[in-house]
Amino acid sequence: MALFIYGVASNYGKDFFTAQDRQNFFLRGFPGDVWVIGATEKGALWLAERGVEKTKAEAQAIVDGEVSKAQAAYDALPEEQKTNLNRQRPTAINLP
Amino acid sequence: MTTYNEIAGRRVNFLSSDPTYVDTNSNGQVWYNSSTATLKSWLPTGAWSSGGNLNTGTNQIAGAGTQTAALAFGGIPPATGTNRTELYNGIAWTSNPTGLNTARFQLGGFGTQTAAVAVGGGTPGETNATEKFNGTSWTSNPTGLNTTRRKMGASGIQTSGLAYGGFNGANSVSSSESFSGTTWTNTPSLNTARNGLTGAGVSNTSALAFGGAIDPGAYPGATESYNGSAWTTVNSMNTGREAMGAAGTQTAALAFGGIPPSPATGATEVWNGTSWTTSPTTLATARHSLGGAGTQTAAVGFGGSGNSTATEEWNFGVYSYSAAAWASGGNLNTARGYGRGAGTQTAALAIGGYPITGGTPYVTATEYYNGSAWTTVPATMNTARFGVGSAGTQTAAIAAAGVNPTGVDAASESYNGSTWTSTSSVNTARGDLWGSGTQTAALIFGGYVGPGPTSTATESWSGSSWTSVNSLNSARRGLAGGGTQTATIAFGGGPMPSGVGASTESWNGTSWTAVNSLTTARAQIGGAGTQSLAIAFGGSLYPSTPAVANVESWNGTSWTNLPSMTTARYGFGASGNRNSTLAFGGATGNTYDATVATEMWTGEIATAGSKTLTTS
Repeated sequence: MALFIYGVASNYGKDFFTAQDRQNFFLRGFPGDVWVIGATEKGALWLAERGVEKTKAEAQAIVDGEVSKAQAAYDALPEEQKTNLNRQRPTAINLP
Repeated sequence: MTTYNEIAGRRVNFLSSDPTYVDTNSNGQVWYNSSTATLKSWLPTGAWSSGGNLNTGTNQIAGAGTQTAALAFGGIPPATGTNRTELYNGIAWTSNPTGLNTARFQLGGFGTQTAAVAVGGGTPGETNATEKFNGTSWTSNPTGLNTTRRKMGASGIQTSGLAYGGFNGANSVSSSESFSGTTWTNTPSLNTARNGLTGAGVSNTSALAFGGAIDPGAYPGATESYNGSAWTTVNSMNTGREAMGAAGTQTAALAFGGIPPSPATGATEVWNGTSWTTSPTTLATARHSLGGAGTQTAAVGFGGSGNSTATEEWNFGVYSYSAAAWASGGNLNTARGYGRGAGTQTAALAIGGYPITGGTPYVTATEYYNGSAWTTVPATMNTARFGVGSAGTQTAAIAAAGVNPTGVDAASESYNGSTWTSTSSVNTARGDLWGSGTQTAALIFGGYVGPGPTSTATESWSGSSWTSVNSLNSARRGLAGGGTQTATIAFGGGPMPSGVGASTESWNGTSWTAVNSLTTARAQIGGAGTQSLAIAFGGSLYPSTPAVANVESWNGTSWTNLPSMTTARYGFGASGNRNSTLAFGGATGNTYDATVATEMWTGEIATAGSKTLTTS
């Protein structure tokens, strides 16, 4: 049985996920409004009420697209600003 | 065998009931409950939950204040720095009309929401600029830091702060400075020069510096404690990193997020004055360069890498949590559709209504809700009607216009807690409108002037007379809203029966401005809240669907979905606010028969609860 389910849900802020949710199931947010949720009944219900389920490949593709956009934005910065931001180029994210 | 007394220095109490949880000093207390035959304890745990989103996604942001009164300022974008300033009330962020005088990123911040300090940062070149916030606006301090820097640690209060470490444009620095409220004075340096560190503390003589990058790029998680005369190296963090969010004091701190590992971590560590403990729970959204505010046990993290808008709230204690949800309340004594409400969730007033199709006369009965049950009070309205515009509290309300058995009405009545008294009438007779404000300073808007046309009319109540003011942009009836006489939000409704709408308008005391629409267009909707924080629930998609249970939350900018009501309904009364709301009466189907059912919306609540260790 899969450990996780994957979905897209827009974080609307307060009460989007609660402390009780965090105690009930695994939950991680990623770029592109992608969420990785523990494959439990409560986790599945949480996603059903807030977003749309995706396959892992679909979710990974969304995250990859967001990382590509962030990398392109970083690459377009003048060198001086890259230094000032004092940050490395955004790196790939592999969903669990 | 080692006994509990030998380990803990105290014996296990034998009690007939659980003791009262007092404060964090109660943590770890163990007792035997003889009534339930269980060994129990107060075992604190920590958890992150979502808070209201920042209005603008911001990275490399600074913060100050508490979990329920926080301040966010500075950051990127743009890459050259922003002066944006937002205020948090524990539920939602509000953009401050004015920002920092010097736009910047990677700055330091400390203090409270109404007395904060912004210091240093990148513009993009390093600055020593210091500004003070008074709850409304920033003022540039005449003198700045002695050492120009960004990515420093900063902590304290507006009249007693510290800035330490950071990056001067070429290297990491170790210098430390003390702020008196007016001037910066050099103080003993950190033992380890670094940048991207974070700090916690309450004054310029008590601070904790932790994490950061040591040139040319090591992250040992070094921690140093300052006592007013020297920095002392203490136990390091478990996960060395930079660009964390932080909260707390020298002896009770919290660190969360940061980098490495790349692209970011959500790791959370708790400092007890001696050592760091990694929490089993992490930020839901891993990120670095976020802002932080609050205490070790009640903190808030916001913004960060990816220009995040996400806010998360940390609570550490012996709490159990009840999920945000709708729950059933006590039934009305008199079924009523198109009734209106005033007051709060636990002290509400039910006003007027329309009972059953072709049935009994319109409702004049007034009822009080106390959080669990409705009680009919002796006072009855002078004019029986439904769909009034209402405002005020349970014991000080105004009800204006509405629909009487012969048509739309202009009557207005004021309630003082014991009787309804007729006042001067509204200027435009109409029904199925909505109201906001108080008994003596109200606003009514929309409705229909019958038997067909819908209205844009808006009127303001001074406490003695109604004055027509600028109209809604969109004519409609069956709308809802919330707020004050000078700051109201109106949403939903429509030109029924020809259709329903989703449009939302914001009133600034002078005129209405169209803002982002509801996700689900509907009329005869319920609503409560304020101009910047409201809730919309139920309604009708007339004529396609009689009643819906959809619920949406307004954050001052846009609408998002919340868990649905238990019973789909339309044309009901409402009171309360975004986080504590009451919905009562209305109709649930095609028959228009009114219901007595009541529902209560409550956001998540934390309650102290003990843990059972063993059962015997």
